Amino acid sequence: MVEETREFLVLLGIDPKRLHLKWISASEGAEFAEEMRGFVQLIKTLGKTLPPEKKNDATESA
Amino acid sequence: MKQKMKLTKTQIDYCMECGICTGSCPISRELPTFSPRQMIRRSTMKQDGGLLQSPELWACLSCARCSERCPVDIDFPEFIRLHREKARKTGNFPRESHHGVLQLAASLQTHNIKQQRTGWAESAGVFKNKGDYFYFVGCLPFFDITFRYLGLSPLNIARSVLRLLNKMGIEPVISNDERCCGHDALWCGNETTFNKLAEWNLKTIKATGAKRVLFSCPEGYFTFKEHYPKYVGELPFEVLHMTEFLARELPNAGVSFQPLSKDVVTYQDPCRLGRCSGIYEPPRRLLQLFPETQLIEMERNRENGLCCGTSAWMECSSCSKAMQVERLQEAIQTGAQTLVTACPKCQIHLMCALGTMDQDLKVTDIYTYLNERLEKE
Repeated sequence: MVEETREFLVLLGIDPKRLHLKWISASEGAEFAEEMRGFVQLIKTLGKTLPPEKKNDATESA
Repeated sequence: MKQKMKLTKTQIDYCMECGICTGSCPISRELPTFSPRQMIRRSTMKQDGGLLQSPELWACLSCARCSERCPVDIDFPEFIRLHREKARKTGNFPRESHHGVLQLAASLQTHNIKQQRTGWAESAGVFKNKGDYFYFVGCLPFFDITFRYLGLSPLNIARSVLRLLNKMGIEPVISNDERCCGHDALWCGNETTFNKLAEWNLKTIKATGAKRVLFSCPEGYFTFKEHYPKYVGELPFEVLHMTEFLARELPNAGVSFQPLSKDVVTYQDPCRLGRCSGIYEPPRRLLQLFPETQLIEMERNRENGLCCGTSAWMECSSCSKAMQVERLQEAIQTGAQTLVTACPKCQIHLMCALGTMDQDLKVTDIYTYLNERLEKE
C-alpha cells in the first residue's frame, strides 16, 4: 500500500520523500524520537507540499 | 455556474402515477426500498421530504436506465446530481471506495502541481507537445496503480490507443498538465472541484493548439461534451470518442490486421457512452472488422444495457456485486469467451466480481482487443 501511495505521489509531482515508513517497536523510544526529529526536519526543508493557491490558478497565464 | 432543474406540474402529475423508473432501476431490483419515483415525490414535499439527509441519494448509479424510459422526460440522473450538491452542504456525504484515494488524487489536481503522468507513453509510441489531435488519457495512470491487485493494467488501454493512432499516422498530444476530467467530482455533488479541474483542462488543451480531443474513456467524453460547455463555455475544439473516431477512420487508414483464432465476444455498453451519449454502433462496428470474431449480444443491450454496478468510486455495496455477477452471468449465457467493454471502470468493476466467480470468461477493453490484432511488423 505504501509503495503504491509513493507511485501516486510521483504521478502528482509531489516529492516521494514526504512519505516515510518505518517499523519501530514500542520499546525503542529513542529510535522513534530520532526518526521523527529527522523526518520533521526533512519536511521543514522541503517546505509546503502544494504551492499556495491563487484565486484562479487555471485561468492565469502560465 | 448554478444549474437549476424545474419539473413542470404535468411532469410531476404523470410521474406520480407511473413508476417505470423504479421498475427499470437496477438498484431497486436489489434494494426494494430504493425508488426513483418516491424520491421525486419527496422532493415536492416540505424540506425535500428529508431527501437531502437520506443515504439513498448516493445509491443511484446515474446509469440513466430510468430517464431513458421515462414517458415525461424527467432527467433523473441530473435530478440526483443537483440534490447531491445540496446534500453535501448539509453534511451528507457518500461513502468513498478505495479509501477515497481517487477522490484525493482529483482534488490534488485542482492545485498548480507539475504532474509526471506521461511516463507510460514514452515506451508505447510517439506523441507530441503541440498538434491537431489531443489524446485525453484520463485517470488511467492512477487506475494502473490502484487496480494492480486485480491483475489489471488499465494503462494498456492508453498504450493500445497510442499504437493504433501511430499506425494511422497520427502523433497525438499527450500532456503532463492534463487533469482529471472532473466527472466523479461532479457526480458526487462537488462542483467547486469540478470547476477548477475543467478550467485547468481547458487551459492545457488550448495551449497545445489541438483542434480535436479524443477520449478513450466514456466519462471524460460525456463530461466534456455535456457539462464543460455549461460550466466553462463553448469549447474551441471538437470532442470525439475514440470508438466513433476509429470506426470512421480506421477502415480507410491503411492499417492491416492479422487474423487470430476464432472468438465469440459480447459487448458491455458503458452508461456514459451508450444511454448518455447515444454511441451504440461504433464499438460494435470495430468488433465486426474481424471476420473471425463473432459478436453475440447479451439479452439486455444498447439502451437496455445493465450498468456495471458502481459509479464515481463510491457506495460500492452488496448491491453492486449482485449486479456485476448478474451481468457476468448474462455474458456467459451468450456463449462468449470474451466480454469487451469500452470503459475502464466497467472493466475494473466486472473484473473485481469475476474474481469471486469460478468462471472462464475474459474481460477486456476494445482498444486492447484491436491492438492485439494489429499486424506485427
